[in-house]
Amino acid sequence: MNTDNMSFAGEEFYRLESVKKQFSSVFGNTADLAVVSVDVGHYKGLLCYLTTMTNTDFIIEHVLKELTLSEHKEPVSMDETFHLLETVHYAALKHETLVDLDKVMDKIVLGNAAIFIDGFPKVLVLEVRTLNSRSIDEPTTQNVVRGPKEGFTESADTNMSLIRRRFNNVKLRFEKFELGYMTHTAVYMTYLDGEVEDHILKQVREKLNGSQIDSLFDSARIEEMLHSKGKGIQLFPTVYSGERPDAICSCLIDKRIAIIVDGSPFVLVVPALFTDFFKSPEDEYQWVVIGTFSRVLRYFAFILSLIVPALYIAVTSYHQELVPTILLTSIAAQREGIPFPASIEILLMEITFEILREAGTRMPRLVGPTISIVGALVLGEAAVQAGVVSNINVIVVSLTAISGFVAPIYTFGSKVRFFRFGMIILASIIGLYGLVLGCAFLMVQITRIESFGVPYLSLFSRWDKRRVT
Amino acid sequence: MSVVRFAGIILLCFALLAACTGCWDQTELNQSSLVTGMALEPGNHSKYKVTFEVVNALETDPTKGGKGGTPTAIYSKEGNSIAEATQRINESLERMILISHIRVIIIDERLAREGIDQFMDVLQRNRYVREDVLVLVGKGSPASDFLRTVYARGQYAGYKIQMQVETYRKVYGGIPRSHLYDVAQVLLTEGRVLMLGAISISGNVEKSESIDSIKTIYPAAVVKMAGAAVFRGDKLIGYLSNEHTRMVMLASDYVYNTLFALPGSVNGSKSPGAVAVQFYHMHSHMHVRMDGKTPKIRLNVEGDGKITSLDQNIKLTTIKGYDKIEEMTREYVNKELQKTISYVQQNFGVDVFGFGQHYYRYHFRKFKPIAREWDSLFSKAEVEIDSNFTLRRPDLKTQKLEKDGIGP
Repeated sequence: MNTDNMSFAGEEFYRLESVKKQFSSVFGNTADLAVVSVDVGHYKGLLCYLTTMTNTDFIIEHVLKELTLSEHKEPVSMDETFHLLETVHYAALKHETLVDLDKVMDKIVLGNAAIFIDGFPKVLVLEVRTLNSRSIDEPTTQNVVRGPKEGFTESADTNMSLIRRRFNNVKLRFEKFELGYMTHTAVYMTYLDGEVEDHILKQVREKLNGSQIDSLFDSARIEEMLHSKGKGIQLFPTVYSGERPDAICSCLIDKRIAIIVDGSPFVLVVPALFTDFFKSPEDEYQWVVIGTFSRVLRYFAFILSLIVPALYIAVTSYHQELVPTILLTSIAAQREGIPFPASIEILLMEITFEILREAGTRMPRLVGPTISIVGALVLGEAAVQAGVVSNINVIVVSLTAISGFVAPIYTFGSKVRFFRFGMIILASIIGLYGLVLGCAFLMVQITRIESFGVPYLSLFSRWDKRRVT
Repeated sequence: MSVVRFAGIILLCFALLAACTGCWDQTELNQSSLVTGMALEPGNHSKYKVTFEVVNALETDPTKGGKGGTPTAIYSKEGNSIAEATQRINESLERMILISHIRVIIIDERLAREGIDQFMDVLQRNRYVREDVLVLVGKGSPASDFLRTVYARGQYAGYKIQMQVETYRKVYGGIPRSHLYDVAQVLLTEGRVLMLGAISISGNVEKSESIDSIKTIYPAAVVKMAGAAVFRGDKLIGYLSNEHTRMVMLASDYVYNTLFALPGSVNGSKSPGAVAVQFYHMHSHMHVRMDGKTPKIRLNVEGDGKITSLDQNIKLTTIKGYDKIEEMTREYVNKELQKTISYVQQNFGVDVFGFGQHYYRYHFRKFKPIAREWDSLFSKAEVEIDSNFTLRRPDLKTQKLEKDGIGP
C-alpha cells in the first residue's frame, strides 16, 4: 500500500517520517490530531491520537509513563519491546495489534491511540477514549415518586453499565452495530440470550445492518426504521422508548430487545405493544391495587383526551337531546353571545393550547415565567370574560390537555393529540356519527398493526394459537 | 402509501370540511332556544293554541347572574294542528326551538273533554319528544297559565312542575304515573282506562307572571297537585281527589312510600289523628275471577313501616301495642280502599285500577268475550280487601313521653 515503507519478507516496516506524512494527508490540518515523537524503550516511536477523544492526564498517566520501559536498563530487541508493552505495560488497557494503516486510522477516529515503532511492521492500538459526559441524573420525561431515580445519559457506555449493574446475569448480551456511513455511531442491541425469540433477533439485526442512513444523532431516527413497514401508515408507535434503566430492564425480562444508541439518553425497546405505552415502572413498586388503578386511569385519560372535545361539539351542535336539561341550559347560558360556532371555538382553543405547549417546550428557560403568565390569560378566565370563548370550552380544552399528558410515553401522547384534531373535524361535520366513524377507523388501524410479528393489541385480542410466543 | 398521496388525502379532508361544516341538521346552541314546557289549549281562531315555555338560558345560569330578567318567556301560536303551530312559532320568536327538552305537556281540560287521541300522535311520532315527558291535565285554569307561574328557585316552570309531580308521587303517591309512554301503554291495553295527573293553580296568575311576584315570601300563585284526571277512552270524564288517587295507586301497586294518619275514635271526623304511620316497601297483588256475571276481586296490600307520631298513649313496650296499631291501620286502609273503589264504581264506572287488565293477562280466554262490557261489569264488582301491614320500628322513642303517676 505504501511505497515509502520498506518491504521486508512480505511485511511493511513503518518509517516515522512517512507515517507522519500519511497522517497529515488523511487528517489534513485538523487541530485535534496529536502526532508525538516518543521514545519506546530504546527505539524511536510515534504516538498518535485525537486530543478530543481523550484527555491529557490519561495519556500522561497511563500511556507516556509506561512507554519508556524504565525498569529495563539493558536494551531489548524490537520484538521483545513490543511484546512487553502488549502483555505487561498496557495489559490493563483494551488494546490490539494492527498492521494495516487504514484500519489504524479508523481506530484513531473512534478514540484510540496508536503507537508506531520506527522500522517495525506492527502497530499497537490502545483504547484511551475518556470522554466527558453528563453525570447520571434523574430522568426528565419519566418521573416516579417511588423507585430508582437514575436515568440514562448520552453515553452508551454509561447506559450499558446502568443495565449491566442491574442484571448480574451471564446471559445479558450487548451486540454492537455501527450505523450511519458518515458518523459511524455505535448502536448496541441488548437482550437476554436464550430468552428472546430468534426470528425477532434476526429481524432487528437485518434492519440495523441494512440501514442506509448517513448519520444518527438520536434513537428517534432508527425508531422510524424499526417500524414494521408495508401495512400503511403507522398511526401508533410500535417502538417503546425509555429513559429509565429499571423500565428497560423489566422489558428485557419480558423477552424484549433493547437498542442503545450512543449519544441518545432514550433507549428503544422492540417489540412494543399498545399496553406498554400505559405502563409506568412505578406501577410495580406500589401496592398492586393502586398500581392497577393508576393504569386504568391512564386508559381512561387516553380515551378522554381523544374524544372529549369532539364529543362536546357533536353533542352541543347536533344532539342536544342527549344532554341533561339542566346541564344544557347551563351550557347554553355560557354560549350566549359567543361569536363562533362550537367547533370553531374548540379548534381555536385547541390550537392555542398547542402553540402554548410548543412555546413552553422550546423557549429558553429564562423566559419561562412569561409564558405561564401569558398562557393563563389566553387559556383562562380572561378569554372567557372577553367573550371569545365560553367557560365550558375552557374546561373541555383543559381537561383534554391534562389527560393528554397522562400517557407515560411522550411520543404516544403526541400522536393522540394529533388524532384529536381529526376527531374534532369529523364531529363538526357529521356529529356523533363522525366521532363513531373516527373511533372505528382508529380501532381498525390499531388491530392491523403488528410489531415484529406480535399483534399490537395482544393483551386485549383473542387468544390465537398460531401466534403462540 | 406515499407521502404525496397521504398529503392529498389530508387536503381532500380539509376541502370536505369547507364544503360540509354547518351540515343540514347542525344547530348551534347560541342560535337556538330550549323549550321546557308546552301547553295545549283550544284556540280562539283556530283549532289549537300551543304555548311554549322558552328558556332564556342566560338568566338560569347562577354564575353569570343574567340581567334580572325572567328565566323563561312564553310564546303562543294558534294553528289547525299542533305541528303547524310549533313550526310557526318563529313568527314571534327569533330563534330555532329545541323541543327535545320538554319537561311537561299540559293539556287544557276543555281539550281533554273532546278527546286527546287527535293530537297524541304528533307527540308520539316526533323523535325529539322524549317518551318520559309528563303529560298532565290542567284543572280549572287555562293550560298556558301553568307555565306563567314564576317561582322562587329561578328555574323554569316546566322543571318545577316535573320535579313536584315526581317527588309528590314518590313520597305520597297522590298523583298517577302519567308519562308519555304510560299514555301509549294504557291506550293500547285492555281492561284499564287512562288516568293522567291533574294540576291546578291556587292564587292570582296575573300577578304571578312578573318576576316581582317571587320577591315576596308568599308566592302569588302556586301550582298544586290535584289528583288524577279520569278518562273514558280518550275523553276526560272527571277528577279524583288526591286521597282517592292515592288509594287507586295503592291498589295498582304504584305506591312506594306513603303516610296514613289514623283517626282516633273520640270526636268523629274532627278527631285528631291518633297515630300516624309511614310505610315504605308497599306492595299489592290482585286476584280477579268471575262468579257468573260478577267479577270477584281480592286485593292484598302489604307494607313495612314505622310509627311517626302518637297522639294517644299506646304502650309500645310490648308487642300488643304494635299489634293494635297494625290492626288500626288495616281497618283504616281497608275502609278507605273500599270507599274509593265504590266511589269510582258509582261515579265513573270505568276501571282505573287495572283489574280488567289483570284478568286479561292471566285469563285471556275468559276475558275475551267480556272485553267490551268490562267497564259495566266492573261497576258491579265485589272487592274483598285483605291488607297486612308490619311495623318495623317506633323510630326514636318506644313510648309517648308521659309521667307514670305515683300512688294508687
